[in-house]
Amino acid sequence: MKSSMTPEQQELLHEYLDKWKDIFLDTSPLDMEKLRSASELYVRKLKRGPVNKLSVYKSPLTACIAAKLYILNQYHEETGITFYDLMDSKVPVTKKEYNRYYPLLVMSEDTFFQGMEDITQLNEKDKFRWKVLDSWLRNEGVVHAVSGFGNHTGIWLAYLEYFYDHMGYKEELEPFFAHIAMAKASGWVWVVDNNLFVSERPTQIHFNEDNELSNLEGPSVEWGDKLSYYSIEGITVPKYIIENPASITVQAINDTFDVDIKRFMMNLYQGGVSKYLEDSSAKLLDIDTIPINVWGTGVYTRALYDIGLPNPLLVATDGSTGTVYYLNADEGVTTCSQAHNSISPVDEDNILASS
Amino acid sequence: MTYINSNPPKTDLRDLTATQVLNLINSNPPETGLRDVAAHYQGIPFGTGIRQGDIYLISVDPTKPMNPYLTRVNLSSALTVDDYTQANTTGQLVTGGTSKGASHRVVLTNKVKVFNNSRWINTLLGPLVKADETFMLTHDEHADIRLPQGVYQVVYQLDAKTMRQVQD
Repeated sequence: MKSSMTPEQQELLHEYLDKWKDIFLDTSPLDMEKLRSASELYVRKLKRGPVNKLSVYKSPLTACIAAKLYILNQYHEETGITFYDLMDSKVPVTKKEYNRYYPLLVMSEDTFFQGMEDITQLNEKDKFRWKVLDSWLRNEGVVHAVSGFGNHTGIWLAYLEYFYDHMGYKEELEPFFAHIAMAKASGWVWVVDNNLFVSERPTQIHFNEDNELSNLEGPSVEWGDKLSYYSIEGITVPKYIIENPASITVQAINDTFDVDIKRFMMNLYQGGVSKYLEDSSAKLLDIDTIPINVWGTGVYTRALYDIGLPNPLLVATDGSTGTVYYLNADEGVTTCSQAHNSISPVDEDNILASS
Repeated sequence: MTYINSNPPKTDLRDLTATQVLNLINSNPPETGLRDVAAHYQGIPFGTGIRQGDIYLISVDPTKPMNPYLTRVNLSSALTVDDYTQANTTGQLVTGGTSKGASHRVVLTNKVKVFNNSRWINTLLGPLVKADETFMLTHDEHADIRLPQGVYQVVYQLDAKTMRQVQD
């Protein structure tokens, strides 16, 4: 076993990372022959037996739902208890049962299938159920994950494969070999008993030059059943701000709490930030320029606007990234300095450096 | 109202259009280099600190309650370094997934440690940094900051509309 790496070994590690990056970004359909072969190895390792059934779905969401429906149907056949009985808590449910059925209990059937379009859009009742059950499960120490590795986890497996192949960790990493084989051949996978519920790989993935998920023209990730996620600079954003930026309103921007999403919405607002300020009848209260460091290198400019709401809007960069942020300052402030002090734990005179 | 230029003729900046203001804000080139506070200070005064993005590291006196340095954090009783007993083994100063906000990180060494608060639930309070030597605060995008030894309380920026931690 080795405890340090030579420059040549470090270079070779980068080759492994590049190889696995390609696996991670692969958008080609699964090769069924390779998948069957990897699945046998995988299930024998995990379950000590042959594959009972291998099913392939177009996205991880459908694969996940299929796995959970399989569990529920199996339970129903064994006990006669239905999903709705469990939902309404008409039967006493043991900790073990919660462990198995928890993923289904937290969503109503409507939400369950609405999730095919957008899994993040839970209604308030389901959000509450989720929180209560999640809290209960955590308190009980229940672990409920049944998902395994897939190509999306490739970047971590790159290290394991490299250390297995070249650094003498054969014995320690042998248990991961089946996972490595599966990740090379598969999308995200769920394992229930000896059954595999496998997702196809995404059909498109878009990154920007900083290797962040980002696409201003459409989804940043999409699967074959149109399950998709929209992202800008690595941050997940609502679909409509990319697909229909003309529908972004001043009200929607003002109601957005996340400062990054708010920034993207202002930039995508028809006519840009200037037009947003115009449409808000914004009045400039103050503008100033302050040093980035107290020892005098660099400055940044900031402005304070009354946008017709109780909280004025502080418009400023952070001094190091060039990104312009739009921050809610305290009611009644009239200068940039007061505005900053209202959102900072200390007065800005006591800030020695900013970045 | 403040003025950018102190020499006449002074311009009342209230007359600037939104586009002109945004151009002014964007006209200062980002300073991407290291902020080497440690090169200028062997130890920074209690109550002073630095900002990196939406987090602040404030120097505190480890022998006294920190409350006087944290007047904008709503604390109902004395907060001391003894409230921080859980070792933070990653040096990550903002918890939560893979968002950009989660990448503020202290480079840990045998003499630089980070502790999470084991007593308080306050969304504006972050971990405590105990550094017996100069240390680095890093981020994927913001410029790195090198700080002198000391004890630093991490505090998050406030959204004044919701009175919650700014979320990014």
